[in-house]
Amino acid sequence: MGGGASVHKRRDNSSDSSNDASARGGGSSSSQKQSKSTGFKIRRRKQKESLQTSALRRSQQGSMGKLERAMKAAILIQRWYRQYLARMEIRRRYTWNIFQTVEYAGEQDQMKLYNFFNALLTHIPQKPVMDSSSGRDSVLETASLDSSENSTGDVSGQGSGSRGRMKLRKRKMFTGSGMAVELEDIMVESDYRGPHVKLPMTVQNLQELIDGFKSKKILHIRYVALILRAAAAALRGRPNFNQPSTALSKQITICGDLHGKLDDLLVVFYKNGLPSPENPYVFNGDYVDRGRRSMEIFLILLSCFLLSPDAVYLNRGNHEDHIMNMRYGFIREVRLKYKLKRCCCPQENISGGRRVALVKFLQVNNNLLQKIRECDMAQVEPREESQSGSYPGKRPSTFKAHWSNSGKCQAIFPQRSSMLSNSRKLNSSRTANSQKLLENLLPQSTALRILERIGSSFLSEERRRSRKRNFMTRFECVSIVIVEFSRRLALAQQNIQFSWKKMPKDYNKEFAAACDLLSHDIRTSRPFIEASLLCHARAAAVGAKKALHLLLLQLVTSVVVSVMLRMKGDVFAGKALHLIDQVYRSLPLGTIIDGRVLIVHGGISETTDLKIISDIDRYKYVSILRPPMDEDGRIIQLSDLYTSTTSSSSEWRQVLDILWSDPSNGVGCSPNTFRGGGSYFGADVTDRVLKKHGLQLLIRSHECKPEGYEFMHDNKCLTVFSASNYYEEGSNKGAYVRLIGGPTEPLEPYFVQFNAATPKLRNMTIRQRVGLVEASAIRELRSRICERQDVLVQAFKAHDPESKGLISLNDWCITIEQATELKLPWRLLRPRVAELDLPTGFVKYNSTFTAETTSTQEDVTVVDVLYRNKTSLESIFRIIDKDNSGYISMEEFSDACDLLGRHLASPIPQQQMAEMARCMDMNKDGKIDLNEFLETFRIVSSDQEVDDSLEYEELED
Amino acid sequence: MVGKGHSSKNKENASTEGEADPDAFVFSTDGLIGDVQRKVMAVFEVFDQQGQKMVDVREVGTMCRALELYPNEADVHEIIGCVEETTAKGMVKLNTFIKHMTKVIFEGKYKPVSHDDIMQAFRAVDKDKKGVLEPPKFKEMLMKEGENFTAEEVDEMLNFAVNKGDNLVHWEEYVEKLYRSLHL
Repeated sequence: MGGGASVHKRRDNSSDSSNDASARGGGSSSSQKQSKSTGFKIRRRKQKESLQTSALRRSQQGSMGKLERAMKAAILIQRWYRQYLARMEIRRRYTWNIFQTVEYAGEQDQMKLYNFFNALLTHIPQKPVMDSSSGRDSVLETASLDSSENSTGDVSGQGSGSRGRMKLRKRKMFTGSGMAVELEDIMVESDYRGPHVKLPMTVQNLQELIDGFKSKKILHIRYVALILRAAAAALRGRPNFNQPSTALSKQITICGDLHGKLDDLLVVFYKNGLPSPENPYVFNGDYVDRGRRSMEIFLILLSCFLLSPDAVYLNRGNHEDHIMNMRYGFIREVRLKYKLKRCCCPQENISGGRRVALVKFLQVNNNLLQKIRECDMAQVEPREESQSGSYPGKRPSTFKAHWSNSGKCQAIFPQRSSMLSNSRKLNSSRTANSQKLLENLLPQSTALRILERIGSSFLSEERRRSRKRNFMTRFECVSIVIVEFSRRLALAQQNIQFSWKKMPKDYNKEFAAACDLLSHDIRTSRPFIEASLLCHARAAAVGAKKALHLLLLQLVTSVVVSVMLRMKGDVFAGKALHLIDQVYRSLPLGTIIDGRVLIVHGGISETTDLKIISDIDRYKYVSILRPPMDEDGRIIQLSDLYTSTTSSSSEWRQVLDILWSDPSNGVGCSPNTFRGGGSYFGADVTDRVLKKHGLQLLIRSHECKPEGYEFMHDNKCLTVFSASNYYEEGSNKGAYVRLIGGPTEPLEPYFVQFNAATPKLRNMTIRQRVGLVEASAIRELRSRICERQDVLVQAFKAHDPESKGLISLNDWCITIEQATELKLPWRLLRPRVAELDLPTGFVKYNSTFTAETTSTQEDVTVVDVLYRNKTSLESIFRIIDKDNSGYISMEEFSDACDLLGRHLASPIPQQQMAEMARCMDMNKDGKIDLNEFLETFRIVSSDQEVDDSLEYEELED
Repeated sequence: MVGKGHSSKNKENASTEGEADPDAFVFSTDGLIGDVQRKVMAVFEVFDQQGQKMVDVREVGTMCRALELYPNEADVHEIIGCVEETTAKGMVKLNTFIKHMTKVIFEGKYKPVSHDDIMQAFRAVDKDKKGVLEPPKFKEMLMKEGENFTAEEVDEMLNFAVNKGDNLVHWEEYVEKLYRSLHL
């Protein structure tokens, strides 16, 4: 496993040490060379072997020649060492099994959810939402409206009109016309340091882009939009199968999955050069998800395509799909990258004179704050202030929001906050102070409501981002809460006249100016901002000292600024995601080189017919996981897919199969139950389909391989996977393949393997490497076991009626396999997972949970472990939350229940539904947030009775 | 959630599953034999991830060794001769493999190389009786004598065996280290 490229010419077998047994056997001993019959040979060798040990002893006494002694010794050492290698190999294998099984179990979950998802996606937008939208809280919804449009992108085109109108009206309500900005119109700020892009793309441009990404720059949203839009348009014109020819270049390079691992792509370009007409590339899908630099990879590849459209062929993979992106991280990545960093902090947005004005406004406030602090707020800690340096906006005042509210949240939710304090140490005296402060400021009931809301959204936000726990996110979620509250209050109390006169004079003026520039810069209506600010000031005035009132006003102002900016960022991310979906839909489904080599992401099935696929309108598949309607407008179920004969379902199956299938060792074709989608195809299927279309070779990706590539099916099916260290550092090499030869000569494959890992890994022995990867796999496994601890304990106890704490190895294996739903060699894994009771040979089952816990991720998992199926639930939540507001409104909930009713044998009665919704809405604000949603499932699933009625998996029946 | 295509269910209920699936292996009712059979099956399944109940013959050597047998290359060949499918060349079926390996294990064939044996072997190689071996010579011997090691195997071995300080193989120390990891 070296960093240097090792070029192999068609290696038939990969890693097994025994594979060249015959070669070795033949040359091992001169006495065997004459023997022609293998049977004889084996007999001879066998005799020798059995004599070996005693012969060796005799040799010690000098009765044997020196040479022969050395040979015996060599054989013994070799035999012994191969034993050791084999042990390593089996550990490596089951480690691989663990990673793959856990990975596919996730994919399977996602596939299983899809009927449910799609039903929701299809039906909810078609319901008249107008009446409800006016009653709902549109501030936050509207912010992410554009992104919700992605997920509703339609298969058939129907219904988009009404949705469009609805969207428009919503937007008007909130923003007037200001918000409807095209990303391309956004000016690039003068202090932007990232790469610049101009169309048409040039080589220098591409190089600048790559260099920028290397130094971790984020491309400006304007350029992102530019590339995405141009690429979508250009790709749209391609046929479903790219048809490159090697006539000119005499060679072509094929890359497999990259999965957001930018380093791997850079290694490929470094070794193999940038794409050009002399050096064409086929990229075989799965550019995004999992890795953290998906956006960069996607943009580089699209730029390469724009630069030389005749040298870059892009195939769609199963991860070029909005629904997959929801679970596997690409959407999170885009939001993160385009929410805050670029275009979203005030210094970059507010330019020139207006910026000066804002700064001045904040300074005035700051002075006031200073005074306040000096007289009656001496106890306020300056800690947050010191952090403000790291925050680009430099608005120290805003941090007050953070401390006061986080402290309060802890007071109101003693139980939850104990979890919080695990991860964060809060100063108790500060807590008390802030609590007192807020109580002074606000009427009791209002304060409680705010804080309750803060508490829950704070927590859900906290959990969602627990990995990237930084100050801004916590602050932000608090801000949203305050502003939302203020907005509601403003609507309710518009009739109450606010007394301006009570304010200091200069302050008044500054305030007006600030409102002015805010509304302009953030393209939000001024009345809105004013209302938010005023209502807070008013709330403050109700029972507070003037100084505190000012403090609050200032606090709120900054909060408003930040929320507005955040919303703007969300809109950007949403729009970018929408454009990305357009690119997905436009990506060709496969590539055929010289009419001889078929390259698709997954593979084929027995029904695969390239002619049918060529005629499909691929643009309508926004998501491959989204089933089309059949002729009666019904949604096709996964269970019917392989029996249904309608044309739309068979067309869909064609697409699903080439993107999701895996080759198998056996014969024939069967549904890919391991992944949950696509097919398994045997060698005979490969043979038949290739023959039928006059093809010679099938190249596919989709599966991680230890060596980066693997031949199967009599060398007719080749897997190429280009993301090295996919499961864990050291788990696998990446590889790409170059096909060399023109259209008239045979194409010879040359493989290049690489490893983009850190240098320290390269010098490890096989034992260390295996050990490292194994440890990580076992950790993964352990977290899965812990998630299901309650189920497991019960099941173990059922096998142990006398409560001895012991069960047989066999029972242990079966139980753990059922509970974790992972098909793994548990018998072999047992030594790593649980202890054995030596006298009886039984397993001490409690040791399954107690053995060394993963201390590094402790504070993350403590919270996460509470939620079985958390990822699935989160996905469901995001689907039900149609408008991406972060809350499920009652309307959304009832829509979802209606749909559920249609899928379940017995529909849910209206009464019961309302009851359910009320239970879930723990803070009684009329909406369900993610925290409440997860919380409900936790409570419910520990209560065995109700469990089944709510488990989503029941939908399958 | 685990798909039907997997043989996992065999373990749960061998008898009923056996009726449904003619290919399913029926475990012996004898506890001891049944246990060995399950162990062989567990190893087999590591190499048969898709649940095809077939693996490539090239895996046989590794599978045997994973069962804590110590065959040499000729033995591996012999085992392959016994388990390879006659109709599908190059493949080994689950049932055949379990039956044969259970037999082999109960016959007590391919006994482990004992600690004594391996020490003797190294002593024989260490002609100067210094307790150390020079990597180039050791390498040459392993690649030219006996069941010749491939360059890959030998490099892998030396990478771990060579003492980084004096660049020699302290074989006693090395044997101890490896022996311990083999008998965890």
